Amino acid sequence: MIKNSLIVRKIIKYSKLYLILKSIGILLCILSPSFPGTMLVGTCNAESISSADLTELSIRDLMEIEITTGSKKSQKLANTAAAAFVITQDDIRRSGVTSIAEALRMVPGLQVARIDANKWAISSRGFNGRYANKLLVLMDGRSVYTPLFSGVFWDIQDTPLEDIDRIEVIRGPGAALWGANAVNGVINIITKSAHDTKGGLVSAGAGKEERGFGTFRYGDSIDEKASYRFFGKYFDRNESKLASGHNAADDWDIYTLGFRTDWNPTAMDSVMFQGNHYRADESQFFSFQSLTSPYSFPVNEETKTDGVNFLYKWNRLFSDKSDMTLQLYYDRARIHQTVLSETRDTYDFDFQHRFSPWEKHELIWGLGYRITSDNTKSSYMISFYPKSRTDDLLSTFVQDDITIVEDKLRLTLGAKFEYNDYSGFEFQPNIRALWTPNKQNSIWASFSRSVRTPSRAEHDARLNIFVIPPDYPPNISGFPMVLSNIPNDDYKSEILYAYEIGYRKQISESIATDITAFYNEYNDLRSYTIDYASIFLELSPFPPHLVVPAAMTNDINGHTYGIEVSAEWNPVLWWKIKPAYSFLHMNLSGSPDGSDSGTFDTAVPRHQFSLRSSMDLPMDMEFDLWLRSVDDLPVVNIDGYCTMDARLGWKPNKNIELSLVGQNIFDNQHPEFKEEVLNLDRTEVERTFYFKVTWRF
Amino acid sequence: MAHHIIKYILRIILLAIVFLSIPISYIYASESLTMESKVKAAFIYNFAKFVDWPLAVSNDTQSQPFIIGVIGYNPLIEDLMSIEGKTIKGRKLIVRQLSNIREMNNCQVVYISASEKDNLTGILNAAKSNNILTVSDMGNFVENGGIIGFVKVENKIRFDINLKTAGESHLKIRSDLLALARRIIN
Repeated sequence: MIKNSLIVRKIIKYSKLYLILKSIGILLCILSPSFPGTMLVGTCNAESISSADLTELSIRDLMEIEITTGSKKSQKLANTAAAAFVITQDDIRRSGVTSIAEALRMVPGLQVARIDANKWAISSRGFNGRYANKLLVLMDGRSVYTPLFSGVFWDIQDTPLEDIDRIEVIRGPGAALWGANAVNGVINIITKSAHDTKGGLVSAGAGKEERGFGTFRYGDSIDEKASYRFFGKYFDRNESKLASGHNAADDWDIYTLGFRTDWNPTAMDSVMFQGNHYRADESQFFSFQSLTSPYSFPVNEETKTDGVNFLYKWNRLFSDKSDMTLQLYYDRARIHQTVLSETRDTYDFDFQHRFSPWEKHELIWGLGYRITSDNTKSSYMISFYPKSRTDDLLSTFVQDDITIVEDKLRLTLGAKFEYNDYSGFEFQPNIRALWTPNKQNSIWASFSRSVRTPSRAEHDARLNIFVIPPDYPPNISGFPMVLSNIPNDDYKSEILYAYEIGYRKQISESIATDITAFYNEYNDLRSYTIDYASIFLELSPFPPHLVVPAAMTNDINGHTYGIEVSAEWNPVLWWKIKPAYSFLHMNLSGSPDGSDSGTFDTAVPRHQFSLRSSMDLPMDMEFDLWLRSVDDLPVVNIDGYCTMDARLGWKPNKNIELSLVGQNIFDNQHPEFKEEVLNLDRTEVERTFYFKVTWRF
Repeated sequence: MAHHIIKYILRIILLAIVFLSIPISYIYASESLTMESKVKAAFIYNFAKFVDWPLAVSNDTQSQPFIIGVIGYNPLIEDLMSIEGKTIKGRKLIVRQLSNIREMNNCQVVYISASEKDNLTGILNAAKSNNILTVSDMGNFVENGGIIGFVKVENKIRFDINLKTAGESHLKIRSDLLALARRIIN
């Protein structure tokens, strides 16, 4: 009758233990004066409970159980021929993180380092930096990768963390589907449908680094087919510390306002419309360069950023094998700082169609068109030629998913064709195979070619990096001497050939593992070539000065390889353990003419380890620990570190959640990274704690 | 040179994974049961507690088992079977896969798979005359004369009740259960 009695018996054993603990919890709750009416389901993890346990619940409690995702998503994940990792809402909530950037530390194969209180360096499989340019990031399908410098400004990628449904991370090239710049990975931040966020939510808290934060959200249904929500979020974060122990003057605050509506006019159509607005004030401290005395002086300034965006998406289902999606968005982002101000408007159109033209083939094809236009305001340190520019990006892709053996072997062939104004036509093909001998095992392998197209800065920017005063060694002339990056019209795309294999295994009902190995071969990577032979005298701006020209060129080649492992183990129903380990080796070499081998690109740890533990305790308490260990970054002189976050959560009743979080509790402070362009002071991440209350109504 | 060594190592890893995975995979062949049918099974078990069958029927059969039947193929049966042996109204629970309408006679509750939509009228008529509580998740079940119909609303399970059919089947549904129904048809 029951096929696998051993496993069933084990589950029943654990569920009994769970029920005993739960009964103790119930008893204590009844004894306490504030006994709430219904509190059974609370923290229980429905996914891992057997039907026998569920019969112990009342109908009212059964009605509260969410029945979708968990299994469906892991199903989907096991069926992907790529190194995919999903951060769920529960992972975010229980980790105690206060930003999307910090949540990404869970993902094996990603390098996440905090530069200062308001800046992060995040990359996938190496090449990390504030302007890490090989990782594409999308929020509900809207690209937040800035084409100006390439890279992502993580500070302004904010939304109430409670409204995030999940963050899907794919390491390795995703270019065949997502396009250029998805070279080493794609991060897709997906927010909840308005159908799933009905009711109110207020959360607020404060702590040592978090001077104060608050979120408000309210959602409701308009009729049976349409729902909406609107939200506001604000936080104010304290400055971090310099190595000397002095304050780093990098405190910041940001508010975000937004709404989302979801409408299902028919059973086959779903329409989503959303909008966001944010405004941030961030302090930073850096050395401004000038041609007159004192030539270099410290500036402490407020960086002001703000933006607004709207996104519309329409999905029509034709059958379970066929659908179509149309997406339009508009995004305006402004940044205002002493060295550079920029206003950027992006209009984007995307269309996708999935259908099955022949048996065993599932074809997806799509068209994309993007117009992005900027307007910059220069300073002596950074200027753009031309000052403002409008670029078009036209792309089309096609992908065929072929079932070779039903439920066992699948082959995916895909390619993206793209035309951009910097490097012209780009071709990015890939081939993937997935073999699932049974439900417990899946093995995949892939080969892809992908490109990182030139950024506006590489192509058009003049950067006056630093000024050596007259008669100051090594400058023996009587003029100030400037090291300058001269725009390079010939800057080309960087090219990657990637080989990947992966294996996922459900070892038992309570243990699942995922291992990926990759080998990446890069050509034409960015290099900085300083041409000492061509020093020239420049008369403007006044006073006359010598220029040592440098240019960004494509003279670095190299390869990287690595292994990423993650696992999930539920020793008992109320305890989850999630270890992750990454190994990364980078080997880059410049051309024989002595160009710099891009030191900052290799500022990544060789070994990284993370261990998360989540316990559901009696009395609806939760206890979480997160241990992280990161290897040295020798090229920027940063030592490895090992630290831990801890969270204690309590749901005194169905509507209220209290939590106390400690972060980086192993040491007073430690550095994690060094900014690579503006030469900002190196700041350190401090031990901190905060308290938070969440009220749902 | 280094490239070749690494490619070679990757190849060995791939081969090792392929060979290691084959024997292990035979050990765990259990099918994972989905959450949705687990929850529905628990609902059905709970419904029985809030429904009173006609006195004549229940008195006669106090020593008999309480039988839940499933018509048509549905994965839910596995979840119902895992709770076999529990008691409902002092009677031992038994779950049966039914292959035709005649086998419904001894059942107190019958779950009708969506696959039986075409035979619904016949099944419901037989159920009515045997005082059977009918449950299903097929569309428009209660509108077509079923007693309790599951509906999924935003990833959670809700249910509708047809009080008229319940009355005609001489089943009394307690107000506690009615209060939780999404919709009641009179």
